[in-house]
Amino acid sequence: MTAFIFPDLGPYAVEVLSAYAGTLALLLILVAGSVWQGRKTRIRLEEFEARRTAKRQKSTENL
Amino acid sequence: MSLSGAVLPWVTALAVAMVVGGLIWGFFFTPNDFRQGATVKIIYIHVPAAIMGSGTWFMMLAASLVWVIRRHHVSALAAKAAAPVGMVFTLIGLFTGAVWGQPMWGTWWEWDPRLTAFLILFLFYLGYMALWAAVENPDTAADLTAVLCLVGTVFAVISRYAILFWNQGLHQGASLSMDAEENVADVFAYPLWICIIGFGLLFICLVLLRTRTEIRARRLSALIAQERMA
Amino acid sequence: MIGLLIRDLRLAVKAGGGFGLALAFFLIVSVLVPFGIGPETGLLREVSGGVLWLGALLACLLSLDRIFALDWEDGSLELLATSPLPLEMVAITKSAAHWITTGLPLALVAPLLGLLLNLPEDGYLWLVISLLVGTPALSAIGTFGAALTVGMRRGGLLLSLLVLPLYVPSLLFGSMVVSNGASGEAVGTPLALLAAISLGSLAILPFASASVLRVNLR
Repeated sequence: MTAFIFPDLGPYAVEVLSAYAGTLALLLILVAGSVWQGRKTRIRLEEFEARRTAKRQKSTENL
Repeated sequence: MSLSGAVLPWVTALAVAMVVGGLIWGFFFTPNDFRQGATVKIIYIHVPAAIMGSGTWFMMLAASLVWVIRRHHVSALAAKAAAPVGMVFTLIGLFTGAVWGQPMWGTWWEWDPRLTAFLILFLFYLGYMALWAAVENPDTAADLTAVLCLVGTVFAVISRYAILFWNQGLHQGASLSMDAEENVADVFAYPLWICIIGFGLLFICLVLLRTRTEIRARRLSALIAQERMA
Repeated sequence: MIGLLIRDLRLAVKAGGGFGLALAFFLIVSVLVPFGIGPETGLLREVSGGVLWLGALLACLLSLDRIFALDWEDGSLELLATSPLPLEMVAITKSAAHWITTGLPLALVAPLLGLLLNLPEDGYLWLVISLLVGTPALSAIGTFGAALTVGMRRGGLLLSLLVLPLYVPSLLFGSMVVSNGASGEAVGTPLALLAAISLGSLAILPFASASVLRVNLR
């Protein structure tokens, strides 16, 4: 197994690292935001449908 | 929904593997370029992001056409879902392009045809998303944004050539091409391709996820409206 | 169709019709530019062509929401939609009315503003020609944008965001005609492309505008 060396970025360390950091940050925001939005919507939908089925059951019980 | 639900975990896993793998390979295990030094490592983000930035718009175009012709609700929602993804990819392309350009060209921004065209594309994404947000009725919004996407595409293509003419004259090739794909050596090309494919898979998984969210949201508001009327 | 055109022209010219506003805005912007970038003659000479095109473009932008707003508010847009006149023709007529009351006057007034901004002598003719040729595209594109945002309460800002990127090709070629003309370089290609954009917009966008109006009138 070859020894792991951090690459020599020379005089461009700031640029390369900030490019990678910025990109990862933007992607993270996008992914996290999408996942969070998705989860929130799914939960709201499930709750709503659960209440709906509960109401339906109640009204058929009274018949 | 069930098909996308079954496929999503696999696409996500593959996307993550390829993006992470490709970037690690590119960052840690490739040499520096003779002219550009370590900044060539930015290519592994810049090129895939740029490709996906414009690729997303074409997907939105196709989805908008499907909506206009066949009125499949999923296609309209898929276009809506894809827009923020495309916008972020374009933004990454612009940002990495500028950061790469600073040491290479000496300025943070150059009105290079590619960067300029990308900036215009970014504005198109903003306008598209703003229109979706501004219209309450979802079907109306779908119709309006679909037409906007179609018209916008025509103008985006025209702008591409106009910008080329504006900055470089019609028949001159780009003198300093950031898109080094044409002449990239194998040692750079392999991780680059992995990153490109990885970003593509990332796009697919995000759009699948977001479209499912849109579908659920639509269903939710339809149910709420139904309740109100009952 | 001519009746519609005359009616719109009459409305625009009446008090509150906004006819003079576009011209006034053009003047004000041209005056503001030296305040922003400095009065140095050499610099102004360099940028005057582009600045004047930009000023004309922004002045066009400001009057866009009037294209359909009045008719939307008093219900006449619905009447127009159900009239025997095809909605596409309505759109073209509206674009024509907008151009006659905005683009055309701006093109004619531009040379005066060129004086303010030290436009080189050879540039004057090309300024007027490029504006005459290019502003119809601005009206056609603007009509499309106005159709998209008709009826929206705060639609003005969204309208600008949607329309300005579409204005880019016309602006690029238009200002190229002026700067090339001013410095004696070839003007033919950008002028031809500018004309192509105007003609293409007038040919195709009324269909898009009409379909969008139908959606909004549902």
